[in-house]
Amino acid sequence: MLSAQDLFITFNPGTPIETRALRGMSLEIPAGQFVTVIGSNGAGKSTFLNAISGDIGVDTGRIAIDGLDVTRSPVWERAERVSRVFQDPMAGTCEDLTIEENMALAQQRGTRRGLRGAVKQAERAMYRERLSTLGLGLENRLTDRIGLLSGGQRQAVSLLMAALQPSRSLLLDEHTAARDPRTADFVLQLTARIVQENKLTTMMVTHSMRQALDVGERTVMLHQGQVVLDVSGEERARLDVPDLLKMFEKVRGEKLADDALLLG
Amino acid sequence: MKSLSWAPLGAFALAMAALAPVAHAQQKSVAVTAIVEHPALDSVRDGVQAALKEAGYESGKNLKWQYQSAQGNTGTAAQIARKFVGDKPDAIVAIATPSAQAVVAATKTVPVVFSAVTDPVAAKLVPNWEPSKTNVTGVSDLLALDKQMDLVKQVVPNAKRVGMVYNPGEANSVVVVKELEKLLPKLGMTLVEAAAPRSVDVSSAARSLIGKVDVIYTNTDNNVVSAYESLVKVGQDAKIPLVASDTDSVKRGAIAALGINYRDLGEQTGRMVVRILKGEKPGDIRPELSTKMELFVNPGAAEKQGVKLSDALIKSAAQVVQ
Amino acid sequence: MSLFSLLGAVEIGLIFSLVALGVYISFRLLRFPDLTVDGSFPLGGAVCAILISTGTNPWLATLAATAAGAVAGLLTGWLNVRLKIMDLLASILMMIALYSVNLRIMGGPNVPLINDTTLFTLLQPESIPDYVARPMVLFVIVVLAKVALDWFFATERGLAIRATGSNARMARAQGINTGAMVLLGMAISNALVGLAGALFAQTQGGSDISMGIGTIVIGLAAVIVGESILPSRRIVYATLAVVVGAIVYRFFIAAALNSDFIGLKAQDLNLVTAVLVTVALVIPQLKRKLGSRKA
Repeated sequence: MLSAQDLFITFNPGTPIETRALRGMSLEIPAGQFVTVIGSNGAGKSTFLNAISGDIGVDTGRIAIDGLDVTRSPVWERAERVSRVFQDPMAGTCEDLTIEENMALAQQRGTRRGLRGAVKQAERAMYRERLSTLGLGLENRLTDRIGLLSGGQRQAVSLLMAALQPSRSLLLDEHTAARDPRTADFVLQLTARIVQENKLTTMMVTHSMRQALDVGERTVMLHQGQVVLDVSGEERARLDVPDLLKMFEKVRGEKLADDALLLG
Repeated sequence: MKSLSWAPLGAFALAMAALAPVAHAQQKSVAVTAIVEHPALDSVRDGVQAALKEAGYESGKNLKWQYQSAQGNTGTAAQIARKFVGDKPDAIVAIATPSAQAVVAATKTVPVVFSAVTDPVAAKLVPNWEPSKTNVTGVSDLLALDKQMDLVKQVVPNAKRVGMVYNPGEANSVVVVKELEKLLPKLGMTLVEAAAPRSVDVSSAARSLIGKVDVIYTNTDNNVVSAYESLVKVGQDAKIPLVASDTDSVKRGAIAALGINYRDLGEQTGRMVVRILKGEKPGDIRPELSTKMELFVNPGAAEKQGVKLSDALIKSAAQVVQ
Repeated sequence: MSLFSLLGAVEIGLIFSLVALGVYISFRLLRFPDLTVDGSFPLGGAVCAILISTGTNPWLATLAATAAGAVAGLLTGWLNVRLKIMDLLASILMMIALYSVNLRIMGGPNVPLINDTTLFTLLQPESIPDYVARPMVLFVIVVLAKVALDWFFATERGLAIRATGSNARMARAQGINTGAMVLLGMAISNALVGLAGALFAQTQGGSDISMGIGTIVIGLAAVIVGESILPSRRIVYATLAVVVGAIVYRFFIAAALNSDFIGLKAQDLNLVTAVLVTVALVIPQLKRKLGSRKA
């Protein structure tokens, strides 16, 4: 499970470009739940996700993963419990390494890396089997450099990599944003399947209200570094995008003025 | 695996090397190398060539002469040493310590004559100052430091603190510093060092001695010699007398120097090479010190640096620079 | 060119191929521009020379020199990882500091090794002349080093180092302590360079304070020439490429030394070397152009 309590993050404090990205952000995600997170630009979604992964440190507040306080832990110490798919597939894979080497990196997440061979015979069979479920023919290209794959293909492999080791939480950072609609759809379906098969606690940040409602069981909306809407269950099932908008206006007393959010 | 493209390259380079002409049998061949190009070292080389010519060995007629500079790089010096040994010359002349060491390490059979090496024993080129019984001999530019300090006393009679600017990375200079540290206390003087690892550091090293020394003495350190003008500026501004070890520096602003003429050193070396070309074994030839020392003085510089030279000193000089 | 000159080029080329392997690890695998090598090469030479000249067993002296190189690399890495100093700057700082350290270790600018027992005099067989035996010994050392590196970079830890250089952010997300990997990579890289310095001192007559100047340039030239001759991202071929590149580069210098017959003089050595290396870099491009025109 993921737990964030009263997170505060301010960038460039005391300067003309001071940005108070998170202002008392709190969110509890119980084990196995799939939460979607939306919000306009500058709402703090990515900052929040980076705070959980450890890429950004918080000024005050507490973050816990599976009950363990990780507020001061570096990224690589948290990586055992939480895996992540980046928005940019370039950022999420090592371009110079082969597909099987990338998967081996993910496979060894959370273990003590020693002097055994990185890509093992037995595991190669498993990689092949997992890759074949994508239906992209990648299982025959294990020794190709991953830089040769298209963005969508790399994103798909990233998802597989995220599910290789039984880390119980998954962070998805607008991971379909840069793809064309068909690929985005493919990746989204794959996401839902993987999360369900592995029963992962998942937090998916998305820019699209449509997507936010279509997948997962709970939707949280951020605005100005805080949670302003939190819907799940029955109430959420009945919602459509215009309804979400109306709820937002009621809570904040202002209209939502982000075109991409509305049209996406 | 992608195809190797070194095949055409290799062929090209080999063709170039193979086209090099072969030497005639009756010709003598002398191969000369220096670690770097530098007025003093170049004079040595020219002196060697002149001495050979005087003995009847002329390049193009009956002598194959080759010269390579290592451009300051020890890796290159090593490759030059290898090349020379492979060419099987009648003698190799190695100028300056790093080149001499590279050549001596590369051969135990080809005759080697070193030159402009201050302490060949410390550099392990020869075991001592007797004939070495190996393939190595040569001419050292070691200066008798007691005579150098005599000169310093003559220029600045009350001198107690002697400053020295030098490159701690140059073997010849470090040898001199170590010797002065032993010698000066016996003369009732002390040594104050200032390090200049690069020639641009000479100026600041000199300035660090202001107020701490009565005179600045320098040897034929490469950095100091190449930046001597900056030393002169400090000497004039702070009124510190400068005494050098090479006569060229007197023309550039030192008050006096009892120095080796490097051209003469080269000729002395060349005469040793002639003996070897005529059949003597290098191991039977005793390593030599420079035989000719000259005193140069510069009264004008003395005045600018706040010192008056005695008439006796000026009279004894080989050359008085105006 | 005489056989002596050719074997001399091979000998020095093999020594510098260890440098090239070290530079390959820091520059290509870790993406860390590392000038420490200008200091760790003479450091290896200094440690080895001073130990041998005071009576230490040459095997131990060489080992100590390798360890010293590793320490230098660790310090550079530490400056970068812990003190957050920019990589290039950290390596320059170490290079500058090592100049003084090396002078201290040698007790002067130079430690000659002319008649001392070295690794090579110990391994010298009766029947083979020394200028042939030395390249043979070096060849064995280089092969062992290359094979060890090929094996290491296919292990879990080696892959972690490669991931650190390729995409540090992703590596951290996979649980890799990238700071520790940088330290390890830099240590291995400079250990190889220190070893090269020790072998250089033992074959070229001693160690000298100036022997490190331009080491990074030679290392990079070897890596680049090697990659243009044998382009491949696979570690096994890449390490072979840099070894070949180092030997070819020294061969070019030897060829340049032997070109006095075309009227070139000693001063032209650097120019000739540069021209030959440029030719080496351009030929693969020309081949590609000609190939595509035919097709």
